Amino acid sequence: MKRAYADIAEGQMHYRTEGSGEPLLLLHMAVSSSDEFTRIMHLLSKKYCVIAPDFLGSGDSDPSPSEYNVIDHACTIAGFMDVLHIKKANIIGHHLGSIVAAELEIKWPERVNKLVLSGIGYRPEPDECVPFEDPPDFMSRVEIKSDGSHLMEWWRRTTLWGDYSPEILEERFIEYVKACPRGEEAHWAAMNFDPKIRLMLIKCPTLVVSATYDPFFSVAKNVRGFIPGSKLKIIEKGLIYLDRSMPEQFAGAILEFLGSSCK
Amino acid sequence: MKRAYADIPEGQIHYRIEGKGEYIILLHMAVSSSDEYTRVMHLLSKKYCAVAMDYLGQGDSDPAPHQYSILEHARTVISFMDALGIKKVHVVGQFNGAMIATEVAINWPERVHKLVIAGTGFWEESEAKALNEPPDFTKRVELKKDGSHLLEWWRRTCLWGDYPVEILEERFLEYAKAGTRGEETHWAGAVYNLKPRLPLITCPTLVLDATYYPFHYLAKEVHKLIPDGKLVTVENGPMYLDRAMPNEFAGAVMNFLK
Repeated sequence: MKRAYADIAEGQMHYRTEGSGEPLLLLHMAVSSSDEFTRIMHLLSKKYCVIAPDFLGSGDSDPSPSEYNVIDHACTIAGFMDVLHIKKANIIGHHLGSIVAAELEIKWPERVNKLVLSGIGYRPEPDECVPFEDPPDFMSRVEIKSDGSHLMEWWRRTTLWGDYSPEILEERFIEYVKACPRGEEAHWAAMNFDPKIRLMLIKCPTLVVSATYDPFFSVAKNVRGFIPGSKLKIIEKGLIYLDRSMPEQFAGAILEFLGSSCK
Repeated sequence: MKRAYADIPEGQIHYRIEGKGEYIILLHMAVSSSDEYTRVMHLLSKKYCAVAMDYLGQGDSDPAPHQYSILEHARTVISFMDALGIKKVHVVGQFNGAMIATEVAINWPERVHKLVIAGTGFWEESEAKALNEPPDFTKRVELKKDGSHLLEWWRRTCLWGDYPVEILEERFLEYAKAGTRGEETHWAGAVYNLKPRLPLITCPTLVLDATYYPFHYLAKEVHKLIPDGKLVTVENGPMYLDRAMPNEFAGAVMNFLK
């Protein structure tokens, strides 16, 4: 795996890349970076040229010039593909990355071969009768304090989403430090996306991946219903940091879908 | 300023680069990265091409294949220059960076025009007490599920003076990036004996000192041991001089190089 920078209109985008062949883009979750994909890149790179950029304001990319919404981020990914001379790619997105991937396909269908939307979801209305609960306060802005208490607040947010090894928690924690102090803008961008009106516009072959311990698991079947002709893959006992904690299952689902002829 | 990667035999070296002209390579302190020089680079880049690399195992470079000595780090500086096609440079180093810069200048004199070493010193038994070193700042820190390692890194970040929270946060990120092996750079510095090396430096050398550097009391002695040395002391300069007083740091470097 190599790390590198690409210069897009707004600044430098950091990315990781491995393998050769058909291009496959990996788009990460909010307050995260391409680092979340390092374990699955090894598995995908046997067949594909895997490329994982950091969104502006996340990981090691430059900050975005203003608070970006999902469509803004999709535009930066199109710009990134231009710089790397990628005309068309398979796009895999996890959480925030999944809705950026969806918007990219909706706006530039000619640039997307197949889509894999992992952990995609929405917060259901009460009348939908779908169980859903957010953990307490995970996306308000965190101010830096001279006593270091902001670190423990980031750590609390890191540990809200299930039981992971200290190494995975540390990886997740670093994303908070790197994205500071504007990191939560990525969460806010995701909140303003309405899947009920956007996802029906997707035209390419699409796989929805949902892990049973992901907070959005309860809406996975609904999401699949919004996307014409899509498939659903359920990963038993998978957690929200699915790509970090269950790389074989995650990569397996992607490879199986991309290898199938499902037009 | 641009960030980029260079491939050396051991892996990828992350670096920052800005400006045009003669090259200045900036070498950072232990548990740090090229990030410490971003403010200084903006100033140097008006006249020079300022390049700052992250050592293996620090910042955004690949980990070192094993625990590296000062000399091994110095060799990676030469590999890095080779990868970028840079023949000869001015080398600036602070703390660990000054030790590494010294070894670059001694072992590869044909690659170095001028040398700036900031914050250098050496331990001698009689002087260890006078140094009044803060306790326990280089022990390996294990990751804990309760996050208590973060507060230990924060404690170490805050040991070296009074800084705005932005600078503390920058320093803390270096600990988080370097992780459990981060302190290996401190250990490399602790077993390195600078004193007998200083007389071997042949190029013009600036000893950059600051009154709140831990080794401030040794600056004159360091200066005396270098054949072609100059000494500049920055009044009220703290440990993170390049981050906290970039104008003074860059000014001293540019004055010396011109």
